[in-house]
Amino acid sequence: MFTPDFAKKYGGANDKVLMMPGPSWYAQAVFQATLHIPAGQITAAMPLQWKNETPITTGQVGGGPWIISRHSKNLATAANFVEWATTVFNPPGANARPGYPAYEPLANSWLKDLSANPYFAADPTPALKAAASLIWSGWNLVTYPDQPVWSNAVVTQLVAGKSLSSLMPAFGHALSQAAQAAGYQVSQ
Amino acid sequence: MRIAVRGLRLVILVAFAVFFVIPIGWLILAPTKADGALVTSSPLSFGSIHQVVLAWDHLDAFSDHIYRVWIGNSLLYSFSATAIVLATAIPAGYGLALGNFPGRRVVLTLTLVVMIMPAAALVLPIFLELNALHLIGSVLSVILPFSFFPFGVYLAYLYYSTAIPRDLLDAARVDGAGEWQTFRRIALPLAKPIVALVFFFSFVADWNNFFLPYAVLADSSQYPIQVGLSNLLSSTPSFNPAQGGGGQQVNIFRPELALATLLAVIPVAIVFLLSQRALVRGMLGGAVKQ
Amino acid sequence: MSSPALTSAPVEATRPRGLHGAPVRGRRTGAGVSFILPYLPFLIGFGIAPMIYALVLAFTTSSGGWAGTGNFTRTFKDYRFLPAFEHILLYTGVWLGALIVFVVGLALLLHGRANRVSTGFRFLFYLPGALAGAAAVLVWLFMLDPAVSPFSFLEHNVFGVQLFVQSIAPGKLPFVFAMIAFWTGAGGWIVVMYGALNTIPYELDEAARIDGAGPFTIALRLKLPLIRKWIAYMLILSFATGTQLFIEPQLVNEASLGLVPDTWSSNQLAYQLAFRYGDFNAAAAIAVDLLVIGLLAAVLIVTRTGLFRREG
Repeated sequence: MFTPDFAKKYGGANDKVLMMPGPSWYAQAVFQATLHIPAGQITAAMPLQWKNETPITTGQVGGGPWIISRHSKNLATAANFVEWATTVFNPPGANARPGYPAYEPLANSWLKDLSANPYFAADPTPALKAAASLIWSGWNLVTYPDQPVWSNAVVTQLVAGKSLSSLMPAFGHALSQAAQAAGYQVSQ
Repeated sequence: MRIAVRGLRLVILVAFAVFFVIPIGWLILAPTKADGALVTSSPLSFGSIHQVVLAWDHLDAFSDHIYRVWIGNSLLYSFSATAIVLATAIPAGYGLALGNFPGRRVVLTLTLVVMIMPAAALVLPIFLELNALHLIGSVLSVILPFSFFPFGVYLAYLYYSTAIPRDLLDAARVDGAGEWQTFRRIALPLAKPIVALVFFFSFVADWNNFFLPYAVLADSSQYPIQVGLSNLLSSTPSFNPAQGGGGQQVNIFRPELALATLLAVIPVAIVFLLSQRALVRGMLGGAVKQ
Repeated sequence: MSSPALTSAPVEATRPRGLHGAPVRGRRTGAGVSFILPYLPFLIGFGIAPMIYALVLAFTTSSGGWAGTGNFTRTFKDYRFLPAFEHILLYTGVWLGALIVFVVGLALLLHGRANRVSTGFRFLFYLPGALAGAAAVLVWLFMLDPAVSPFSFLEHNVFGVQLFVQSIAPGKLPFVFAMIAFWTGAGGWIVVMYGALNTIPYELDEAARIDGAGPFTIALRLKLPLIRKWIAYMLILSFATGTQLFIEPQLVNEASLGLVPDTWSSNQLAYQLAFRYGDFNAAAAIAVDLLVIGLLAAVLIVTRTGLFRREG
């Protein structure tokens, strides 16, 4: 999806995108900037539910913890900055941060600004609020890059015509190899 | 039959010429079009000069004019390293060609072997060595390795082996000139062609070098333009869509990337074209049909 | 019909005299040593020392103790090691093939009727050489995307490629990288081969033509064998350079969000071991593997092809 070809095929005049699961920053980055969907046409809603899935789970994409190097000469300043960025920084209007803040008080002011954004057809914030409490608990940050594993093990085979479900075992295997190389112990 | 053979020859040559030249043509024309137009209009069509100005504005605005810093870095690294190369390699070639000291053969053989060995093999060991010497983080970590240019020594060696006329040397001997006096009197005046040649090869090699600076430099404001281009690449939304999700638009799209690449090539292309004469004359020594 | 004597290299008229008139062969006077002194620190510091340091690291552990072959076996067993070597061997094979067939072929074609037209073609072939590794890859990232590429007709109809991600499918990568390397490097090699062809005495050409040989026969039976040395030089050097591949897969990795892995080539794997895992000893082991290949090639070229003079 993240290729220029996608926009050419499905966006703009072709207008073929009906809905997409994704994180909050899709609104600006994908729908608006890449696919050029005009204002007043889209909003956010709860994800669809898989047949055997209770409760509905959501995930987190493109967010994560801030990391300060212990070799930094400005540890205190860096810590101050991170605190500010995660609990205070919330510019209004066109410069609004696209990502959903994790710190709840900040998230609430961010959601208030978002509900006033004229780009959306209806208020997206109820869905976002609900989704935040449903993040899958099995997810965590790892020290090795996991997204490239997906690209290399799954997307290459999707391009070659294989089905997504057939690629899950290969994906799991590739992930465990990457994890072990990074020093993790993997239990199946 | 003759005509058919000649025709076939021409077809093959033209086909390859197309392969080699069309991408460059595309590169020159790409900045004249906006990103969308790159996809919708014909690849080799001309857009507008106005687009080029826009593309430059975006490129220049990226990360506080860091593009200019990168070009400046490349100029700094290439010129300083080449200056050191000229100062060390030309005398070394002279000494190896005309000297007679123990170890001459060893130094020459070592130079040859290291020269032929692909430089990429040495990048990681050089990084590790520089790291042990605490030089990582300084511009010297790039300039010093660049200043080692065995090919320059070899060229100077070849040149001085054949370029010094006997009577000049004899005359110097009769005058009782010392080693460096002989060098100054005889070798330096004759040095212009070899200086031009070594300058060209060293400058181009330094300007185009990617792997070494990529490995030893951590601060992006020290990058030469080649590594800077890879940085730009990962800031282009079409290649890295997460970039498009920033509150401030990073206006680097494909025309800006093409312009960045084109501008990065111009200095070396100028040096290239200016040195064509010296190259053709000096290369291989076999350029003339007997 | 007598054929003229074949001289394959210019003959030296006299032994050159060294400094102070001392014969170059014979009593060692120490003359000239001061000229190489500024150069020596660089030769040692960035030529010899890195190789030795890499060797030391490859045979020790991270705490400095003796590791024997431990680092080598450990990297060998890494799940990315063998695929990386497979990749670079395949890539190098394709590239060498292209060099032999196309570079030599084009040089012969150009030399057959040497005139201003052929000089013009030589210049055009040489043009891409001005683009360095990174710039060349960027250009080809666009060339491989059917959405913007001027070659889109070929891509759609001959290669069946509709999307950029299809251009960089795993099976195609050795060919794609070889093509990029060929695009930048072929011009320079064609110039070298052309120069080599120019050392063939014109009388031989004439004689063969008078004997009735056609252009193909002259090219394949006469000229080709006479430039064996240079072809060998090109192949050995390209083999060594090919195994060191880094820029192309690294940049395509960055441009494809990991579709092409950042450990596709052996040098990339060494780089990741050093910079992502901080495992310098393992990185050094792979660097030594690649160094050995490079050294072998260099020694072969210097001692066997006779192209590089080590005498005075």
